Amino acid sequence: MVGGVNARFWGRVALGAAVGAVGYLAVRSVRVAADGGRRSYLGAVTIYRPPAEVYAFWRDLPNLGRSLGRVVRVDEIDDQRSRWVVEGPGSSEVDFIVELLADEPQRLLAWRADGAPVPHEGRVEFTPAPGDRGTEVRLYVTFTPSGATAVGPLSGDRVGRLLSDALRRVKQIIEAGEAITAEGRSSGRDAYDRLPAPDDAGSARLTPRPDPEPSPMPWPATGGPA
Amino acid sequence: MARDGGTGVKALCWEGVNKVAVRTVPDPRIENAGDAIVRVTASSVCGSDLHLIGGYVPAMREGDILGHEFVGEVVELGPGVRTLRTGERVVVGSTIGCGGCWYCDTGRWSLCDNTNPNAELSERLWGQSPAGVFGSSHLTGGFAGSHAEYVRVPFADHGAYRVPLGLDDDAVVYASDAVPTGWMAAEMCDISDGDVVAVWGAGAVGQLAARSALLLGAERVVVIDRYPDRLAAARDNAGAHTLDYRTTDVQGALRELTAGRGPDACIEAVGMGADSDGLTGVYDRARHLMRLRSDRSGAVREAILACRKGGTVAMVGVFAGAVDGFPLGAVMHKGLTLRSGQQHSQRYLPVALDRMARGDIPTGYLTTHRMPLDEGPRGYDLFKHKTDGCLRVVFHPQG
Ligand SMILES: NC(=O)c1ccc[n+]([C@@H]2O[C@H](COP(=O)([O-])OP(=O)(O)OC[C@H]3O[C@@H](n4cnc5c(N)ncnc54)[C@H](O)[C@@H]3O)[C@@H](O)[C@H]2O)c1
Ligand SMILES: [Zn+2]
Ligand SMILES: [Zn+2]
Repeated sequence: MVGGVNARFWGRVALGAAVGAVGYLAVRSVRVAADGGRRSYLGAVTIYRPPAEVYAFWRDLPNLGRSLGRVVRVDEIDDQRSRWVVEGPGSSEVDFIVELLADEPQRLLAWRADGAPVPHEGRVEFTPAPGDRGTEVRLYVTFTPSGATAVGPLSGDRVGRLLSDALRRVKQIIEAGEAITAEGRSSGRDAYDRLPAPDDAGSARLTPRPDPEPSPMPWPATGGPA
Repeated sequence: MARDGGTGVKALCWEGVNKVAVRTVPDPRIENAGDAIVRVTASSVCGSDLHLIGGYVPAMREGDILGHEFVGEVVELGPGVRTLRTGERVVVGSTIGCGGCWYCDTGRWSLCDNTNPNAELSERLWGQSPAGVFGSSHLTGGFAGSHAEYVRVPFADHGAYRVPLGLDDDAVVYASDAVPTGWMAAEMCDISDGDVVAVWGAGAVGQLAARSALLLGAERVVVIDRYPDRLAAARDNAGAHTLDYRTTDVQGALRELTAGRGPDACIEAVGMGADSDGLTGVYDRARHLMRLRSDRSGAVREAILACRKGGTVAMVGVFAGAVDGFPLGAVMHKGLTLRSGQQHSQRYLPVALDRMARGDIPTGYLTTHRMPLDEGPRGYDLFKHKTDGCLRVVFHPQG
């Protein structure tokens, strides 16, 4: 199954799988273990809504799938099992079964996805946050040994990033009604009149200050995500 | 000018350190249900832009559109917007708030959890991510700014406010950022009877902080800067006393004025570009010559040294990284309270509009220069060097 498939494919599939698994929430995902091919990740985030609401959002798997992006569709087969259809390479689709192992309303969801391209098991826990801060959500995902090869092309950082992005998305949709996008922003990088000539008329270099200016910061001046 | 058919709109873009240019960029579009598109009629420069333009803030990208303080007309609404109508004239806060997270719900909108699509980037630098901001670095979302004919406004229900009648563009534009910042700075000072407040920086932010401090009950406000025209403006319009730090020993003058106590609260409205003289200034310059770079923080140091025991130092000038020579000992042994933050637009903008409409906070005088967007590079040159009496430049992208 692994041979000849590129890393981007696995990136997508892993995301869908994690997503499928995940109930999510976590602003930061930390790799917590790497032994014997099993890789575990923890993500945690606080959502400013009561546990009942957060749990209900999670438990509604088709809704969860819609919120995550890159998940084409989730069909519930029965109380335990659902079929997740996620985007594969090009316009292809990949599907796999997610089986719920535990479902404790307002407290916990656990699942397993053995047949997924990236086999894994996961658990999401909901705890009331102190004060009026909503619900603490902790997500644990373990890629099972047979899946380790499949995850191979993905760096641990990348998986953690995918999980935390997904968690962030869920938080945004629950709290704000939508996940704000950075896509489609207009900028001079796509300017219609952008000419390579450094001295073109529309452009001007500001004259330096008379006193020495501090140099730019030690981090790159560019380098934000696209 | 045209939005349909993708012929593009004019925008003022950052093109590298100390370089800005007017370009024709793709039309902004509705990307999220809560977005509005605003046809910008006035957009002000801000001291924060100078930090960005000068390359002191990480994660700027060539081509980023500047501008975050603006007024305009709503021309298009996403399907989720409930409170606005097309054709309405609005002033938009510079920080973007979702309205649904814990921070927004408790009035700390600039700390919103949900409006920075690049949160991961700022978490790496600062531990947690603040709200998204228009026309700023990708650390705060890289949202296209308002120095453009049109701009996309996310979460428009929360960020865009109808302009009261009787306030013209060149005055009301400051309700976006400068007035809320000044007001927040003064509020952070917890002013009580008899308090003397000192303000470093006589830019628009410092002027408005001084004015706000008087409105909130300060006995006396002292504004410190080096530009005589700015100091005169602070005397005439904000009702402040002034000190020129080039010709005056500021620490001595403040001690004399307060009979040795020191100001009860100090507001820093200068930020990373602060001049510093004497030893610490030499130290700052030496370090950057040696490429041991850090933000310049001369005015913060002065404020901490001047402040009375148990007083408050409110820092609204912007910093991005680390500073050297920070007088932590003075903070500790004088029992100071330090406060800081980006202004919470959605909390202070209504207060600002109300005070401005009543005439309590005059702002028209701040606009010393108005010009079409095409003259953007010249506008920033004037503003950067404070030449020709420049206090603020307001661009009129519609010509
Ligand atoms: N916290 C916020 O939400 C917020 C909002 C807007 C602006 N700001 C920040 O506020 C600061 C001021 O903005 P502005 O638009 O008024 O800028 P500005 O450039 O017009 O004014 C800054 C003033 O500080 C003076 N100055 C420099 N070094 C000084 C020193 N050592 N002592 C006293 N004065 C000194 C300069 O001469 C200048 O007049 C900037 O750092 C800006 O980024 C913060
Ligand atoms: Zn500003
Ligand atoms: Zn928010």
